Amino acid sequence: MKQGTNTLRISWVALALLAGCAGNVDDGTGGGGDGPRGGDNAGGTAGDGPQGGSGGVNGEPAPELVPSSSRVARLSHTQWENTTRDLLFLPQKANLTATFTGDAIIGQFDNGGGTLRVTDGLFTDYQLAAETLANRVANDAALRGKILPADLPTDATMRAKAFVTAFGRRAFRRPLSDAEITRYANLFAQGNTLYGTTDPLISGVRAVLEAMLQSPYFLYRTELNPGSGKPTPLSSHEIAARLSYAISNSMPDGPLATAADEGKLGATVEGRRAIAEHATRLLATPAGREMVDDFHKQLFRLRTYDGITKNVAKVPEFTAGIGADMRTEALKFTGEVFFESKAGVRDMLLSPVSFVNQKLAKIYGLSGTFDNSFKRVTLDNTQRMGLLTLSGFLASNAHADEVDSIHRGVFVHKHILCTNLPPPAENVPPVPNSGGKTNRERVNAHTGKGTCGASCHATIINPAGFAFEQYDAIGKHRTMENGAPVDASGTLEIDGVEKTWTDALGFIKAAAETDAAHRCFGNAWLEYLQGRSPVDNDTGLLDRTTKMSRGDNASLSEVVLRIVTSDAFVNRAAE
Amino acid sequence: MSATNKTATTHAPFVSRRKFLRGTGGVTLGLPLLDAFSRNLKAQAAEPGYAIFLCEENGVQQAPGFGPEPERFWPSKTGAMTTASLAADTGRAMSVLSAHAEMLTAVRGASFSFPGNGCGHSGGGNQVLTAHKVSPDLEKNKSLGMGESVDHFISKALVNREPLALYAGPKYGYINDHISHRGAKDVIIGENNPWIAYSKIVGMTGGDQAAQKLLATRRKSINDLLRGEVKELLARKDLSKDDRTRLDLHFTAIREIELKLVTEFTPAKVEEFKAINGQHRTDPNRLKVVSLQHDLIVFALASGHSRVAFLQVGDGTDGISFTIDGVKLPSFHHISHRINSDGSDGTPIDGADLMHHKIDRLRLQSFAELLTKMQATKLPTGSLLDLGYVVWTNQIADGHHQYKNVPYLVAGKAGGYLKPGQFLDLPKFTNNKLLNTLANAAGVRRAGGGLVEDLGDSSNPKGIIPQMLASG
Repeated sequence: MKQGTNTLRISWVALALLAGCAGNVDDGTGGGGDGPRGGDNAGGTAGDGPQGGSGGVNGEPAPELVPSSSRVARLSHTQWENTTRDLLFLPQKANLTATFTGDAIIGQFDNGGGTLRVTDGLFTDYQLAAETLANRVANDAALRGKILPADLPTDATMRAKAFVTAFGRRAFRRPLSDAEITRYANLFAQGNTLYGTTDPLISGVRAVLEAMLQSPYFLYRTELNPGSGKPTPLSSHEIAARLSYAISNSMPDGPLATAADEGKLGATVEGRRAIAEHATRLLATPAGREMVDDFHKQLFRLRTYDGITKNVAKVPEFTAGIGADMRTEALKFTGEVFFESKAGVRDMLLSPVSFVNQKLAKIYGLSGTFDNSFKRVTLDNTQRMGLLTLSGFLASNAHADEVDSIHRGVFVHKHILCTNLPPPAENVPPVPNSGGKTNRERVNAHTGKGTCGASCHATIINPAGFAFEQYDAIGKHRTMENGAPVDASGTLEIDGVEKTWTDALGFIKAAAETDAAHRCFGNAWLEYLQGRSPVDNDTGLLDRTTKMSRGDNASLSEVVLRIVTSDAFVNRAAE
Repeated sequence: MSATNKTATTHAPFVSRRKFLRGTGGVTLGLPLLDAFSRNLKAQAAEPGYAIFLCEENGVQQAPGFGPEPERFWPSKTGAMTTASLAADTGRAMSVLSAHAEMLTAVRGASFSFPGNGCGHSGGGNQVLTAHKVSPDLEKNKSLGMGESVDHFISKALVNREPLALYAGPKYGYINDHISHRGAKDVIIGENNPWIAYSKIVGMTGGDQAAQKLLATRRKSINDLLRGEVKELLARKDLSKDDRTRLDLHFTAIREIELKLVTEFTPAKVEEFKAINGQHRTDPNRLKVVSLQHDLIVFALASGHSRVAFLQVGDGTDGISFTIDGVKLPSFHHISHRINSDGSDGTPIDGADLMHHKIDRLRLQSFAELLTKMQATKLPTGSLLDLGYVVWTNQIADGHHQYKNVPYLVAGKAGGYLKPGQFLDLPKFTNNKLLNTLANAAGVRRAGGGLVEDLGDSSNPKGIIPQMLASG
């Protein structure tokens, strides 16, 4: 892994892309953002839409366009928790969303604001939560003091307006209009009547909090600035909110809010430089780290590790709580790659580093002293390499006491290579418990060449899954199965080129050098940071992140910065 | 299937139950119905059109499913179904419903029209109440339906609001809610904690009368302000159709929240809801959660909170471990596959077919208990089962992920529209015809009074199932 070069690299890339973006805002076709790391895509891959190969011609990247996006993107439950904590200066999250009505998730992540809705049930949740928080904060002198302006006027009307103006600016993430100030000041004035109390300050604050926390301008990240041009540049406040929710899943913090008030964020060279600086700063905060963890938890389905069950009679190493340990290991690994090593997709797939405790050390066959804490180790690099040889991926894509080659293959195609897999046939009978000594033989007999699954399984899914035959149902390395040698060799076409390997490490090394893998990570980051599923108009941007990542070995943080300073991030499509 | 994207729908004129509640001040409501409800309240005017949809997972044990397994689900004889005939069918799971035989229509032969995409459980669940295609773009193996489900369709047509959506069991994140849909790829999320569902249905709780009045006044003031803000957004001409649709739903939610009921179950029942809070995801509590969700459904329908309810039992690949006759069984999903695996290859589970059958009996026993509650809930012109119906179905036919012979059991008379007391073993038909029949049974009609015959994907053959009708 690379060490200690992140700050320098981020600055260099940021400046490079700024030069490339200048002047390309209005016509919407600018190829802004190439810089030294942009440029050609080395070769297309099969697949539709933005996940596929370059959309350009003759190897040139496609134009960088600005896709349509929602102008009223609802906060996810995570974002609601973080925002209420930060807005109200709570010592920790209120943890009220645990009982909120769940969201229907469209896409890979839960933050697709343009698809999230306020249903009857959720509105009830918002109402009760707003009442709870308003009561708590208004009646707690210390908390109340934190949200009141320092120079609060004594005149009742002026005091109401001062509070509404100051708090509303933070709650709505933009300055309030005069009409809004009047509206909420009137509510403030009704406080004592509404609560049957006698302190106009406490009741006024409570009423305004209760209402603002249910306001659509709080619950949605709105982009209503009329603007002009195709595409339409976002306002400085709108960019601040986009950036803040992308990087920290919360409202803009003080420095970012100030930059927004001063109009420093925008589609100009200076505006994008400021965005890059704030993005870099936010990534270094605990909220930034939490965001990166959240991204990987969702992308790689790490939350499901808790539900892993095994036949402990056959795999006694699978002890209680080890699923959670596997998730911790995976998060420590992805965090190491992103932050400490400041590395990119290659390290995500190739690094032999991991973090193990006593339980996981047994799976890896590590000698030495381990306890319940997680220790950074370098695994045997003849057996282990990156995310796909970690215990969690292998155990979660396995049966109770056997490997599950098909689901391992499907996972790799969906989450690492972004392959568009055709749907499985209907009414597929189970793989019979016969047809060979090894799992591979049985699965092949059922879905391999010469069977009805030949077209998809034999040539696409199974090869990627069989590559991991050397890892058993909990991820322990093995060379023999039922007295027969394990065969992990295979062949698979990626990027239009046939790749051949003899074991998992060979497959992973081959995958790590494909456009498909680098594009797939860029695709996921784009979806998470933009809060929407990638579309065809994202092809140009993905061409560039792919080139950066594969061609120039850019770090994942550089890819993130490239996306949040892209044309698509600082503009919206004209209506 | 939307009421708006096809011919407009209507229903028989009646005084809106919700308007009636508003007319009483929306403060108290009487329901001398189940023992669980307080008795100092008054009953509402009866009106037809109540629909409940229960959807279970992992299919049922039926033939032909896994090779030589015998039939253990459906009655052994087609045609008239009586308490005596069902009770005598001891080897069939449906025998546990014998006490309700005269209220039951068992319909065999329903098939889904379209293949799944990704996981067979997900693709089946997407179609069982929608009869629409399955989304071509997968996310983590979870597909979505490409159109509105019948529960939403009926609820919107009758009272222009969403159905009460409930869920029983954990949500592990693989395939959770996947059955009830507002429209294409727009799944409705069910509440899986009965205590929270109870709190949301009942609305304001606690405090004395004066405090509740103050709360109601305050909420009204704030809701007026919020409604104005959402209207302000809706008035903009430069928002996309999707954004406007979402804001419109938000606007409706604010309106609906003002109509929450202020009533209570008996204190003992409330304690049951409280006690399950936080324990509602566990396997041992599954049947208790289902029972409490049933209580809420009956209460919500009888009180006028909802006209349509939907309950999904278990996640898409329900892995619950039931304990039956003192024996803890393997994962239900594994049992349904007959192997120790969530996938297609694994070691066989001895006796899995009988385990599946026992689980079917357990699930139908739970269904029978709901029917008893509905029968006991008397409105002025009949019980909920007389005036409405409840459908028990499954996302798939069996553990093979089959999409043919998907079980649909319909209990109730729907105000005399349906002809219960029969087992219809019909030649293969597409499930949209059953959904059309159910929409009509709930009192929904196309503009001009015509029958609803076109739910689901437009490629489905139109029509209803006349054998189910009292007039048929």
